Amino acid sequence: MIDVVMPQLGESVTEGTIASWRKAIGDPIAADEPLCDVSTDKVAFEVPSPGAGILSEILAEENHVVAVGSVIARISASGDAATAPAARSAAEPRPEEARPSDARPRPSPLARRLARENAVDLAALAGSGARGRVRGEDVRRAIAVSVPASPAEAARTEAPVPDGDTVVPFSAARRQIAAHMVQSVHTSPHGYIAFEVDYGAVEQARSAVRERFRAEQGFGLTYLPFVLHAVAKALRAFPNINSRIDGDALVLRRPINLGIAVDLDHQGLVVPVIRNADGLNVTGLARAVADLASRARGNRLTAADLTDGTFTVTNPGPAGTYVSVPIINQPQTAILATDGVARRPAVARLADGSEVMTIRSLGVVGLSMDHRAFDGAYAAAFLAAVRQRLELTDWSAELSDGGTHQARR
Amino acid sequence: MADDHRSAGWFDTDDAPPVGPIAGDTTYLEAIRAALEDELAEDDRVVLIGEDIGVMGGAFRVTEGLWQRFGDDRVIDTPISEIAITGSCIGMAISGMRPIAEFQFADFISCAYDQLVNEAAKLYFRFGCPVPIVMRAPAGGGVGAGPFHSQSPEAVFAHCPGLKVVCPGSVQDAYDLLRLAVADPNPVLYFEHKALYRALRGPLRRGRPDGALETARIVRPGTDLTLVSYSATLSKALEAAQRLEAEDVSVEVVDLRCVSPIDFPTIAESVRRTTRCIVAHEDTRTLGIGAEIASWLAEHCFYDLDAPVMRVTSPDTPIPAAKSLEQAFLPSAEKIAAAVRECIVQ
Amino acid sequence: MTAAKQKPRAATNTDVDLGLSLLHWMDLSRAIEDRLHVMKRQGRLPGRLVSGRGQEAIPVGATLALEAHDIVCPLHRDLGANLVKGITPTEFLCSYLWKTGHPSQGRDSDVHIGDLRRGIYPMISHLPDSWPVALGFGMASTRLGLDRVTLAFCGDGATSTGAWHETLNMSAVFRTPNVWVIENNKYAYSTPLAKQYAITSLADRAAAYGMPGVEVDGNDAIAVHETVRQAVDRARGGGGPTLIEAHTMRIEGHAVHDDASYVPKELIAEWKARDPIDALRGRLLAAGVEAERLEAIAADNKAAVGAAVAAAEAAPQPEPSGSEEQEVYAPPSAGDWVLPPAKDAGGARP
Repeated sequence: MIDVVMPQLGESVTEGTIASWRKAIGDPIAADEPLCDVSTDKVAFEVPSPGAGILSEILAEENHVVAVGSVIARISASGDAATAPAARSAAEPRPEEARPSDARPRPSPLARRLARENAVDLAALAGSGARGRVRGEDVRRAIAVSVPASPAEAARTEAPVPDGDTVVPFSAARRQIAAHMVQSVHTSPHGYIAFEVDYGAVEQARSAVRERFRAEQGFGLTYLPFVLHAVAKALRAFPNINSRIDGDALVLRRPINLGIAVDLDHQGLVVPVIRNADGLNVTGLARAVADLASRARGNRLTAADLTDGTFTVTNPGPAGTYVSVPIINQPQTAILATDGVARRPAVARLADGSEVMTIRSLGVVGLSMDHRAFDGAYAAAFLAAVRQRLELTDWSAELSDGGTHQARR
Repeated sequence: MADDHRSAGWFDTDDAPPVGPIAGDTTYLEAIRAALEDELAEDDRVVLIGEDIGVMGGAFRVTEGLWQRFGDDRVIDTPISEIAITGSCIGMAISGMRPIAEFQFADFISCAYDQLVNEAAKLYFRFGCPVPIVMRAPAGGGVGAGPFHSQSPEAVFAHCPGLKVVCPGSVQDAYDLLRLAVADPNPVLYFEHKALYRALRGPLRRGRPDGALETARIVRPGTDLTLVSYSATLSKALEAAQRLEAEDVSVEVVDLRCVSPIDFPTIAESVRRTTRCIVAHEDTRTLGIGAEIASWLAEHCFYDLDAPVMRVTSPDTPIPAAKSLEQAFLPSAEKIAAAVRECIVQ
Repeated sequence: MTAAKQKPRAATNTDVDLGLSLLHWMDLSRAIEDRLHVMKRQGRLPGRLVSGRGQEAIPVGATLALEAHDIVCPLHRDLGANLVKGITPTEFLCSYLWKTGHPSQGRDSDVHIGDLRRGIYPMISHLPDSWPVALGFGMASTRLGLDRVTLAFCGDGATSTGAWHETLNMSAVFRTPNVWVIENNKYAYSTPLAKQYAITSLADRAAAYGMPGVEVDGNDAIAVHETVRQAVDRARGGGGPTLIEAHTMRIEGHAVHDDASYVPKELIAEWKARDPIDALRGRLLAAGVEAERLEAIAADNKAAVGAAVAAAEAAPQPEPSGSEEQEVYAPPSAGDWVLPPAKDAGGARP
């Protein structure tokens, strides 16, 4: 017996939708012969049979969303008549009893009801209960992750809409964002830490070159490239932050590919990636940010722009935020948020040891972390390094470099 | 334990400071006495009746001082006659009075079974005649008093339609439920737990309580499991919930307060959120309050459940006397916590 | 207070008006029961049927000694007590026929009837379980300072129970305004007196509690009435309770299904010859009342019973409400039950 599983197409893909079955139960099938069509939010593809034989079981119906790795069909060896459906005898165990050798316990009553109401295939779910029993929370997670194939299929409550209220169905993009957010929150135990950063050094360098920079580059110099620079450098020193989780292991990513969350005029969010960001100076980073943002808003990003990020920076600061707690961009293990920079009072210590009130450009830099991957102390040390770089780097010298250069590999 | 109660939002409805002669640090026993005192003072129809409750102040001194203040007429010492005490309460109630009887121990209430179950409980259903009597009875074990001074007979009477049965588990409820029982037009059995008399302390707000007698209360919110309990076991349930918090298990504790009729809507609302339920009580297991709740949940909330409803109760034996045996018999915070751990992984 | 036992005594006079009244209620009681026995054999009567035949003088004679605001606690052979206190023949028939049109509306039946508004506490099958409740009525009269007296009946069988003892003891201790009447009809179902107690008179027990004990011929309606009236007056005056033992005989079986073959035929014959209604009629005739007048009472009662049967058979059966579980409990709005209003007893309150 050969199990056919839902393949994983890319590390961020967690499930696929069975678009159609090309074979019926009992049909003979050759190895590599197309068995079914699957669609994900990224691509549609056909699944070739992993072996030759008879299609003996279909475990996922058409239009159902199935988690990656779940068994979707079983193929019996062609010579093995006993397992062919046509040859079933009364003595053979009933299908329920013949279920996988695991003898998984019956799903909980709640799980069964939720599955019935939301058309979730219980057989496709991994259970979190004793001996793998599927419980209500497992089904709820599957419902949250699954993205309906079309707006019409979106499972909405039948609750009447009060007069004056407006129903705005989610766009496809919105549904994807929603699903990814829910999945992230369910997957990663989020922790949050933050530092207040003195942007005085950044501000000083930025003011000094502002006009010249705009004239030369054609766009303004914001705080963000400075932050990206500091982050990329700090990530080299703290490699566990630049990572993803694979089962019981942390995979440290060699490249530092910084995702930048870009708002699309309040209509959604994309996260294009600056590859090998640690090889760019501030001006180079500024150019990369300007380029990606412009293409994102012009809907001209390519698939390559959106894949293989290793760490993400989100920048709600221009909106004037004080503290923002971002949600991790899976499968990464941390995300950094830069909040608004404002002139605020601060205590400064003078050389003689006395203290005075001063006015500084201060802003919060925060990090949401996947607490499975590392602990707060490590994350704090990373974030402290980011702050230290922002506050103490000689940015004027950095800016005088004037352009991109390749990473020192 | 009292701290648990406070932190559980016991007094969440009103921040007014406690009033009356007893305030900040009141025992469960003093709260009962305060309710009796306030009823006697505010309502001329109320009389107390029972054995040794007058000059002596009762076997547990619950009524201490009340005879001295209110006299023979209002605090009536009787012969050892549980039948006559109960029957006379019925007659007095129908005559317009509000009698509150004290059984010296809940164990002795069996002597009055006929009057309670066949006279008092059925009269309203048969002839529309309300029987507003309150029967107080010290119930429960934990004090080494043995098989005839430690029983928890609430389920016996909860099984009888027409009787109401309340089991206060907090200082405030010792007061509130007694006053609500007096105000109720039906026969109410009020089982006060003797182990709580002087062990449970807390603030007391005196005054006529709001709300209905037969309402359960969520005394500690949680998300993973609903733990239903009452009377002295409630304190153990709260202690178990506290311990489990350190294990990242969030237990919602529901104080049943009134074991007949049972406030099923409150339990169902909680269980539908948590998907799991355990009932913990000191009474024995078979056909007990926990059995009824489990049965009701199976009928009404089956498809909201992620795990079988479980019970933590005393075993189906008489309650033994020796401390070591009694401790093994009674539910404990650890036994409750163990059951929660078992239930949560189902 | 003395607890002296008084010897039985004959009626001292023949008050004609009282006699006619007693006869009316006793005859009505018997007319209803006779009719019920006929209907039982016709298959028109469901459920159980007990008879107070031959004992009518006790409930009627005793209850006629009460005021409207007094309470009576009758038993299953005390149909006459209910009638005197205001239960109508139609209500009785409805109760027996499991119809609406009586106080419990079919939730209880036959002799389990009563109405506290009319001062009748309905019995239950456990005897004498109404006695502790009657004690409470008495205690309430004392506490509330009311001049209400409570009269309760039991048979010889119930005197062997703990509830009986507890009630009489506490009644004596608190000197409650109660009148306790034993209808000694010689058999507790099949158990004769010799197997029930070893004393010669149940009234003797009164001395042990500390209250007067009186024996009376239970088949002499006037004697019963006089004896109970004195006890009622005594109770109303603050003198405390009285125990009255009324001697009679159950001349039929325990119920319609019982042929009472365990009772000696001679004993039944002896007491049948002392039928209380016949005896009362004889006394009234001897006192100069015209036979036609007595016949008119019987005829009127027979007609009333016939009308009651017709009304009851036409009455609707009770329908399940579907919300019985809620109707087990009185709602919070339920006010106090309304007993017949009693007068302030003045100095009776301690």
